Amino acid sequence: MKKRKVNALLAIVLSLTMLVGVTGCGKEQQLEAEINPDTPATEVQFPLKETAELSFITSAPATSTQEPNERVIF
Amino acid sequence: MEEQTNVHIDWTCFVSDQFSDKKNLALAQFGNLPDGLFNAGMSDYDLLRYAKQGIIIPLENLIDKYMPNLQAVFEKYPEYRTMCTAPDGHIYSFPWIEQLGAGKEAIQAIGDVPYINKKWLDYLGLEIPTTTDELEQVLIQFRDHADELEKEFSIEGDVIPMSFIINNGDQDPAILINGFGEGYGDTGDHFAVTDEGKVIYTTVQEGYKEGIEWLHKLVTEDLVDPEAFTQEWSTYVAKGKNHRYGLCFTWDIANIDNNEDYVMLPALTGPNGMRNITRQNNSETSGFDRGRCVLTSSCRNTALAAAWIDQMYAPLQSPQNNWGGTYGEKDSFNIFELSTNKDGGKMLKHMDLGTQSPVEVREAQSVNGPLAVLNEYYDVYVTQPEDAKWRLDNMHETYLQDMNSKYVYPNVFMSIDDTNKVSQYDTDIKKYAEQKKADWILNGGIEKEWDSYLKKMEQYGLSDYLSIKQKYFDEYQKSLSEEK
Repeated sequence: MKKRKVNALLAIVLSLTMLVGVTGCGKEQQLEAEINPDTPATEVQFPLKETAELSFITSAPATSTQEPNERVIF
Repeated sequence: MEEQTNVHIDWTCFVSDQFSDKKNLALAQFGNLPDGLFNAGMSDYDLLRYAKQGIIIPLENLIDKYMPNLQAVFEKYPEYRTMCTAPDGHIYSFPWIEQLGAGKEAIQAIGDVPYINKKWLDYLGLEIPTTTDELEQVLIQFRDHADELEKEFSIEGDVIPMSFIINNGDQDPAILINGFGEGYGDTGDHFAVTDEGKVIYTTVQEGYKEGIEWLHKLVTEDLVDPEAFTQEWSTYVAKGKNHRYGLCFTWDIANIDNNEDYVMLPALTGPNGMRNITRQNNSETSGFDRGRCVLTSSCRNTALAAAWIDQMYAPLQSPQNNWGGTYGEKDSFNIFELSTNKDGGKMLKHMDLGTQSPVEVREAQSVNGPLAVLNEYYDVYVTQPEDAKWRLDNMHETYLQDMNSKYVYPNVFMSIDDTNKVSQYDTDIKKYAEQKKADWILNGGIEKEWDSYLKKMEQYGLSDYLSIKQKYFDEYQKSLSEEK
């Protein structure tokens, strides 16, 4: 009975270790893909064939428009 | 940009004066971050701590792969890449670079330019002062002929011989005391570097003490605006717009009054014959802001984000982002007109701003963000703005020959530990020094309190503060010689 409990506990610990390992590995791969993507530079030449979207935070003086897309430059 | 790139930007925009708090709150929502921060306003400490927390990502690979415009800037000026690189070897932000001159000729070499009212000088038959004693006499004349000046020039309100905003960057009067003692005067961050490469703190120098005593004397003679120790920018400008100043301090007099009635007051020779202009720190490489734009760990298409940001570094785009450039627009004020350079290439030509304040006009249309305007772009991609050209020409004529110091303190990227320490020292040392500076100019007492002041500065850790600054200065000089 005691041996079975120990085995069950070991199985849980092992599963958790593997899960953490796999998740960690996934995170690292994801980070690597973000900071060193394998997208060819030709795929991000402008104008893009299909519209893409990015999101940014910015700031503007209170005296000017708070909608950057209303600015002629954007 | 949207038409050119076919990239739509979903913006979240905060009012500038609330941006810092809002930004920090937004970045605290880990997992729900935007792709990036465009006008990021990131201090070195922000960059390092958000990088450590995994909120912002390293960019050097993206720059090398997808950013030919920024790469070209880094190749021409390797010092900018060095200045963007954190002590851990990563680049966490895209910079803002605005070159208007370089070295001693950089427009940033002096921020707090003293502008003296030439119209009043001419009316009273006075010469532009060249010594501290002569300036004092001129200010006395402004004071004693206040009624005449008010009548002659229809001035609304009382004549103010001299005004400033104490400890307020370009509005501070520190440049006047360069002629005292060793000639270092006082700088915005209170650091200076001797010609032997030793980093010093200006507010503990003997010349500083003498200069502050002299400024107090001007206060006792009723030559200084009583509001100079409490006023804010709007009050300062309001009095300027009423043409009340004989002498005031700022980056560009057109933002306070107008640049026709005033001239730059030259370096003043002090009581012992010293004549020097201490340049602003960080000015050697002209305008530079390291933390202007970052990408977050939520950005899934970093290649696209980098390529889009790289468009901001295109030689014809950067000037528009920087100065609020529009051209050929029928329904809005145009900063530029599209012209051609001598080789027939496209060139943006600055339009005449007329009587409008350059800051106000540009704020209404500029997007700022990451960009690079280089010296070699002028008259090729863009003309120099008239106000900058006016400032540069006058600065060179008035001050260049008196910029005797070899070094300024450079824009170094410290480790997070040292950034933390420096931030703490600034809280104690800088705050105390500036508090005493205002107190001594207004109320006097510097001679009596000087020794206890020096002791207190030391107790706050001045020696350690200087040794940290010295370490990074030495490393920077070493990296420069290695680049050569």
